Amino acid sequence: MRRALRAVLAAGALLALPAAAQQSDTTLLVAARALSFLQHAPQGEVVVGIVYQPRNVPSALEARRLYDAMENGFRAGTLVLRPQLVDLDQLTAGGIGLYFLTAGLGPAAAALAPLSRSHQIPCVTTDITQVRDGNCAMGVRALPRVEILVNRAAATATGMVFSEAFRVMITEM
Amino acid sequence: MPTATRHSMWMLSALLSCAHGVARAQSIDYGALEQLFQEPVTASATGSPQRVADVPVNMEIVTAEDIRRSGAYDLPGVLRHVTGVDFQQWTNDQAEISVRGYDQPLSQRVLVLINGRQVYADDDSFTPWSALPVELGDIRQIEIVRGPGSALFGFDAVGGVINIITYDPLYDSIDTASVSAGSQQLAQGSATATLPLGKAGGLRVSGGARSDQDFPNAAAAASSDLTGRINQRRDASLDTTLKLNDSASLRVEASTSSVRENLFSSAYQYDFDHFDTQSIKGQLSSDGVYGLLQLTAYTNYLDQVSSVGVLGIPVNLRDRISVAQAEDVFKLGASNTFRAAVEYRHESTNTSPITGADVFYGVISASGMWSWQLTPALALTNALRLDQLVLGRDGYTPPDYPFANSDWDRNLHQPSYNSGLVWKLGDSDTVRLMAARGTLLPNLVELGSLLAHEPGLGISGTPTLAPTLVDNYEIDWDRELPQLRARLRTAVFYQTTHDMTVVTGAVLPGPTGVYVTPQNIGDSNALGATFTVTGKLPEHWRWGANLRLERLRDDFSTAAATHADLADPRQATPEILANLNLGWSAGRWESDVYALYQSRTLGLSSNGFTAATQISVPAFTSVDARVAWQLNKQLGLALSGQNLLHARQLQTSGEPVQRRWLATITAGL
Repeated sequence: MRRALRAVLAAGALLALPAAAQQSDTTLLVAARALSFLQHAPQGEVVVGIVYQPRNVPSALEARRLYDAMENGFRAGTLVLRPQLVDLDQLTAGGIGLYFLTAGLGPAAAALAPLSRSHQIPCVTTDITQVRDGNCAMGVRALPRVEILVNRAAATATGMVFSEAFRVMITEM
Repeated sequence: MPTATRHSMWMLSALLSCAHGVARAQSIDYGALEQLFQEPVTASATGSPQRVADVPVNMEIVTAEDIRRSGAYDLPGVLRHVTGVDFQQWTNDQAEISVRGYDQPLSQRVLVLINGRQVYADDDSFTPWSALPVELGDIRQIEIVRGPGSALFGFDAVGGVINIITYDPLYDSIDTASVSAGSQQLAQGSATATLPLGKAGGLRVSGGARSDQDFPNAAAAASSDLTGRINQRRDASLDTTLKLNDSASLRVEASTSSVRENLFSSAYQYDFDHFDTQSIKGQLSSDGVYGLLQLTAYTNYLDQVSSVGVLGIPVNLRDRISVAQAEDVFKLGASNTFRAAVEYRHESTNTSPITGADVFYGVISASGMWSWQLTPALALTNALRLDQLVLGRDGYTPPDYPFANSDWDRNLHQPSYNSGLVWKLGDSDTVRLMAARGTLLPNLVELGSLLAHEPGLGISGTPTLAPTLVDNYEIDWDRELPQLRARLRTAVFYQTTHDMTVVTGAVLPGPTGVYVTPQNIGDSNALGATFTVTGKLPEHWRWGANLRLERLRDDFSTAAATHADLADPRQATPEILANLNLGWSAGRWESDVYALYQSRTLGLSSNGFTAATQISVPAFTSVDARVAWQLNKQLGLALSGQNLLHARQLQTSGEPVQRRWLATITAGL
């Protein structure tokens, strides 16, 4: 699996643009800041499980960018995010404090929801479809305008309770 | 113990007792929300926290950076270049601010607040800007709502609302000091220090002082001997936020200010006024299972002495206002946000210069807001407020007074509303359709606290005035221009004002002479449009331009139409108001230039209470500028100037405005 990922990452490295990396940073920043409005906001070092499929190019590319962004610890306020790649086909919850669901996984991403709920691990994604389908609780978009979409049922199921000041400023479904 | 003091103590005690038992509560962290959403956040549109791009009103936010780079030494100077804002500089320290026209000495139509606490002086319907107990360095942002905001803020928010938001010591640590010196013998100092209280919260103390001289030449203000008078201003404030438990917070703000300044009065003549203010406010904020709950109580004291006064007799008004508010903002389901609020306020002012009586009122209010997210792109917000006012007067009545105390036994019931539809057309365009009604209450001076009598002539307020109602209908269109890194904002508005009030005009016969009183003179309407474009150029430049076109039409009584009643908003409002600014910054340097153009107006002047003359104020252009150099992380130097094109320039019907220079050294930690 890791060999396949490396192959995809090597190809992706040629294609990846600095702008895309910057976008990952911005997306992570938005996600981290949004999580600070949880009633039980994560603090300190948090391991982010980057859920991806190695042979799914868009997913693998996003996973690579996210991994790179967090490799040396991604700081947002008191939060420090550290990456852990999680193959969608070999899901794990061990040590993970937050899932970041990569884009383009389609219906297969539904496999994450039961794990996220049973272990009360929040899930964030840039793939709004996954939020609509209830597979991930929070969707974020950083550009051109910060947008945050929360699936209330999925959020409740994973123990995500946001402050009211935050709730009235985002889009819920 | 005075009644107002008892009111405030009771309200604060009640508020503090409510603090126990509140769980999972937190005041709004503006900084964190702004960082998250990459744009300013406000609660001044609907009472609910919102991104400024989403609000269902026409709003502009002046940021701390805008304030610093404006080069202004006071609040009106900061607001001068904001789209649609009228600015009349009557003296060095008295500038009057209005929104969408109708500006005048002691401008009435804009409600001004500091962190939601009213600093607009109800007793005479104006904002004593110099007496506002806030330093520019304490301000996070200034929120300007164009159009009525009475459904949220109540009476007097008819032309607009200006809410000055200071840093919260719970979240923001501000330590800065500055000293300035400039022309017209200006000397100014300001300091702010924040003391973190560990996990318990934070405390900020700030204060400032300023002095300058308006009319160093004996030739100035020949009608009134103002030569040699020194404007002076001092203020101090304390602001502390305490965390009551994991997330509960209680914010207490206390302030005092003292001002001596030349002032052009609503009677269109120069006076020299003293303002002394004190205030205390407590606010408990809760973000828990019941939503965003806020309990607020405050008391304002304002003592004003007008040296010239009326009929040559000094006037001393002591105004006391106490307010208690409770509100809750909550979301039901995914698409509906509500705000429910109740408020009680009590205000009392003594009569002057004839003393021995008080004019007062109590207001009970209930308000509600419903924001309905119809689709991700479409939101409808409706807000309604009902105010019931009970007016009264007690104490002495002069022997030949045409009123008895029982004439003040009046009830007023007044609804106001704001309605706004916000439609986002993709990522670039936002369209707003809005309608609103605001109410301008007759002030206590107009209602009777001004009371003077000389043989044959008396001057008094009257209890029979009707409130002034302002209806506003508007369509706005905002467009992002990413290729130009710019944003275009346009607005077209139509505003009607019913039952405008003027300070003089009616004449009531008495046994030994006549009393001149205020009166409602009729209606006025305004049709206008504003255009604002702001942008950034690569690397170091930022720029902005705005234009307001507005035309008024008055339908006044005959006497008012001849300006004998000291009212002429149609000709005093410029039909064209335009601003241009260009800023550059690189490394340690900042440089900004602001230009303002105002078309010709006709202003009023008076040497008595009823005799008015019209003065032509030609179209003019004025330029302000600032250059700043940051010596190191702690120390900065700035040189700024206002009205730089001319040594003296006629901008109002008062004395010409003088060119000003100002050098400032700022130290920050």
